[in-house]
Amino acid sequence: MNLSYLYILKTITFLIALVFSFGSYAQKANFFEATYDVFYNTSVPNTKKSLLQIDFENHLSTFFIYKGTLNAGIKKNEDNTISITEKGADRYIKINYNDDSLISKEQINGRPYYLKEKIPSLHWTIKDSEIKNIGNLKCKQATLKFRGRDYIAWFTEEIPISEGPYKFNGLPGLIVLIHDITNRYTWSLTSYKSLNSNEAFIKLEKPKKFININDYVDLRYGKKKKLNSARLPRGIGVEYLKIARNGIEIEFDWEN
Amino acid sequence: MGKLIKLLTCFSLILFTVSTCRGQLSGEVKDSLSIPISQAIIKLQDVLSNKTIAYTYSNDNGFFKILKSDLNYSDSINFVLKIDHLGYNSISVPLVIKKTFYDIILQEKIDALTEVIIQADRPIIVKKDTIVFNASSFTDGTETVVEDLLRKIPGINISDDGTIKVGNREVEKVMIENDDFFEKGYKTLTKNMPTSPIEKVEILNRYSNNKLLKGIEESDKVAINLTLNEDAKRQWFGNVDLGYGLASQDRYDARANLLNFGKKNKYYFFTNLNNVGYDATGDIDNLIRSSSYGEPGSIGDSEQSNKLIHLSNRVPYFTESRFKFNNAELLSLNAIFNPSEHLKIKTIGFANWDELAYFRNSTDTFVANGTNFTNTEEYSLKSDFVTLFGKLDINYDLSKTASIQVVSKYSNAAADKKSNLLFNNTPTLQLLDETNNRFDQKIAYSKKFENNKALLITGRYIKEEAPQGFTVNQNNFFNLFEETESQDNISQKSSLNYEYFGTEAHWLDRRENGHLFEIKVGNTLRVESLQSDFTIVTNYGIITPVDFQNNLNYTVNDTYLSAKYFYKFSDKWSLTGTIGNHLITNSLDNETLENKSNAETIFFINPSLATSLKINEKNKITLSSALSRRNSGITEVYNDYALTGFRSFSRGTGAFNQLDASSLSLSYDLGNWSDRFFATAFVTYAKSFDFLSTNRTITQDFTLSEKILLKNQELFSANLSVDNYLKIIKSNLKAKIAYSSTNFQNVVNDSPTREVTSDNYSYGLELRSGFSGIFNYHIGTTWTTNSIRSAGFKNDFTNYESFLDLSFILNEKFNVQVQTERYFFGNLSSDNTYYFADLTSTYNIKKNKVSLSLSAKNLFNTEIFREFSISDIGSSTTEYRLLPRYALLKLSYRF
Repeated sequence: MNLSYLYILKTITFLIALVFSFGSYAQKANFFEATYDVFYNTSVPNTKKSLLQIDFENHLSTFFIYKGTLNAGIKKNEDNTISITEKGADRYIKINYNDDSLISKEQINGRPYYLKEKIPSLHWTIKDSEIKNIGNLKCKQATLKFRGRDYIAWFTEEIPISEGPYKFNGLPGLIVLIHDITNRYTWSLTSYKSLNSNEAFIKLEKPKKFININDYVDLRYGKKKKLNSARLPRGIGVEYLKIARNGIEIEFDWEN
Repeated sequence: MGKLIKLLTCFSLILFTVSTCRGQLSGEVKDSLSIPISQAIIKLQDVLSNKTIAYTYSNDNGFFKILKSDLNYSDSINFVLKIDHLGYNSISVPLVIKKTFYDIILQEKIDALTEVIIQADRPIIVKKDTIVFNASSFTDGTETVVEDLLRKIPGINISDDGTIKVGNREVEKVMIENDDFFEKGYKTLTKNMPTSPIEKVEILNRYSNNKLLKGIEESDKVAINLTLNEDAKRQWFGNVDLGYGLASQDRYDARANLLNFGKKNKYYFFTNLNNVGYDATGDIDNLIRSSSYGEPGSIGDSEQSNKLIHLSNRVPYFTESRFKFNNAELLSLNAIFNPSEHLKIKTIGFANWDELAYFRNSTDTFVANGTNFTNTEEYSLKSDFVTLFGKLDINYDLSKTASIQVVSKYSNAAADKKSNLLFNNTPTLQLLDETNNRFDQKIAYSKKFENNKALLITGRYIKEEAPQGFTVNQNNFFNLFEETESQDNISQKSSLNYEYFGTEAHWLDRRENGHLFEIKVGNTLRVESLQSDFTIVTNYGIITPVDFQNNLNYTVNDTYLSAKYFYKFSDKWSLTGTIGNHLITNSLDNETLENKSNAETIFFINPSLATSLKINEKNKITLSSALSRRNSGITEVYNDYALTGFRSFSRGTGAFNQLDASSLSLSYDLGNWSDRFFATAFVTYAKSFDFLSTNRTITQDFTLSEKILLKNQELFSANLSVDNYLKIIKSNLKAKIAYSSTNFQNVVNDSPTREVTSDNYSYGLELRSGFSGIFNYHIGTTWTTNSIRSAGFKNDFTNYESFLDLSFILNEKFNVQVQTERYFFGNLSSDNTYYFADLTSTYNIKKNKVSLSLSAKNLFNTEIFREFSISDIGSSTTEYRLLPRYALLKLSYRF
């Protein structure tokens, strides 16, 4: 066989394949976006809008919690009227599968901190028999114990993405609804769409400095509050020595 | 042998396959161009049950591995690998015996890049005037009763006593599936109903009792509706409180609520037995009253019968339960049925038995027109009451925009009263037998047009009969009637009966700009009769004095057209104008007078104007004014004297009268209730151009009172209340000032028309703490000065009243409340200071389940309470006998 002929044929095939692949590439939805309502049933109950952006091309998944600018958080005022809260800072959780890292931007006492940890491995228990429809999505139940709270999640195999809100991932389908069993925190899917470009994705600045999970726990729950109680005047006691932890994450591996 | 070897080989081969298949499967996921696909979801599923046995993801190189050591794939045809990835078609690959590595090629799929919105239950859904809360999103399992759930709903504020407010407004009612028994008595429900069947909590702003008027009528009411789960099982729940006196007379207070609330039918049973002065019908008052009072489509709500004789006409102005000696038993059975979506049937019934006793001693000094005397009374009254009540309320929705409501009510109240009296040391026995029979039928049709217009057509019929039989074994009128003596018996049989027929069409039109236009056309007819037969039984026979007998029929027919316009300039400023046109025909048929019938027809207009202006968040002004003409009622019209007490007669004017009046009022709010500083001022001025006063002939033995028509009565009143939260002491300081003045004329003992001016001032201060600790206090004091002036006559006094309440909430289980009061009567020379203290303490044995409470009343054991009062003809000192000290130990159990 004529080698040059073969070469031309190969080249043509390659080019066709290339064109095809580009064509299909342009059409392929390699990006995914979902919005969630995050509902905090805390002493100031409120709802925040959040956004999950998944980049399959670069193996990234980022979850943004909005300041409340997107819409309503319902706030209980001093006089018990209901108003819309605008407070709260931009926070995000970025999972990078390339280097097995999870970076979260947290606000502690009004200051931003960047926490870097490994992607936590979550041990889900799937209950095939527990099925419910949420909107038009058929969802299965899965349960999880994660950092001191027990969660009930409803995921759908109709959207084969193993992601979800907050740090939740690893189910064989997108998480549609997840809440802890005390109903203090609830994340609820409000919309989703596939995208073929990441143009609209939020660009994040590279954090300069990271803290680790141990630093975070100290900052969030630790030392400072003990200091406050020590500064109380004589004769005034502290009723509870252990400061109650009420965040999403309240118990950490090394503490057990 | 060869066969055997073959078989063994085969067997071992299978074994080998099995052993290799057990535990691990792996593979590689690629696209059609052999490019590895990462993050694909690979599930191992059982073909038969479709169950996912294990799942994993492909890594960056497209490789995957499923480890499942305890699984046996020997029967591998029963398993498939299902591979999914967004943007690719899902495929299923059946497992093949022996094969542990699978090459998977996914075909690209062109996804629709459209956004999908999930319509799911949110914890909070805000609709136009409704906020819906998903109950399960707010509960954490520690809640037992509805109140606990409502406490966790943002925007709902529940005070310690269970009063529910949304913002600063107390809720109108708490409904279950839009059904309600209790209205403002909702605590019976919220403190007893378990939370488990509740699915959603709905806060309904701008609530309308008639749902077809929602958004049309002007409303600032707020209500709560609770919806139940589909699978909520109907269950009985309720509570029992049993209280018994400790170290005191046989005091008891027992009550029980039993409820069953299903989606369709609801039942509520209530019973109360007590002798601690508590009026149990107060608990079910809301069941009896018409909820739509004063609302569109309600006519005839104010129709009621009058009584000539009231035996216990004097009561002290403090807590009724201190001087009310009773023995009450009440049973109430109620149900709501929803046989279909369109039909609602509500039945209410109760029976109440009560024995009341009341004791007072009084000294009345009369000073007017040169006459003065003093009367003393030692008075005791025992009454037996039996009250029966039944109500049937049927609501049928003809369509989504039309409904019809039929309400039938029947009540029968009978009372047997016996009073022993020492009047100026003369023993006097009074016997009064009275009954009241009332039948009330209402039919209402509501129709909504185009979302913003509504028509209500209402018809009502009421028939009420109120006979009274009154006998006194003393004749205080012996000076009035010749040939009678003081020891003669007097008696009067009387009855005041009426029938009422009303029809009305009411049109409401809510304009797009927020204005509301209303027009009402109606006709009401009240046919009333008053009959009184007064007799004196003397030793020589029965005397029936002329001029002391009444038998008349009074008919009032009112045809009216009234229009109202609510003009909304902006959210801050609105104006309401009303014009009522009345064409009234009165006819009087007085049988005691020559049977002559007379009649009159009059036309008049009642206009009113009100405006409300919200200058800004802190300043609100409301101003209203009205001109009105009122037609007189039968008790103002009757001609001859009727007995109204053991030593008094009254009569009306004997003529038709219309009374003209005007009023002007202004209210001003500075700040909001929840602000640190909050003040309200209210000023009102009313002038009656015509009013009915009295011409009285007062002697030491008896009084004759006759209504007369006079000109110009004035009333002025002003109230100011200021609240200021003092951060430093975490307490709220409240100051109150009130002033009112009335000016009128009357005639006493043939005097010329004399001017009477009455002035009242009161000043008060209160301080209440808002500590978060165990202790809180509330202290307050009020001075009241009354003065009455008339020609050659002036009377005044100052009373002083203060209280101190202490509250100790030691922990969730145990609390103690102490209430103390002090009364000081400036014009009493002796025994002018009274102290009261009550203590209640509750110990929750099990939260929301069992509690034990101790309630001690009248700790200082004050047995007599003396009060001083003045009027334009003298002054009175009255002593009331009080319930002695008692302590009630109460066990409350919720089931």
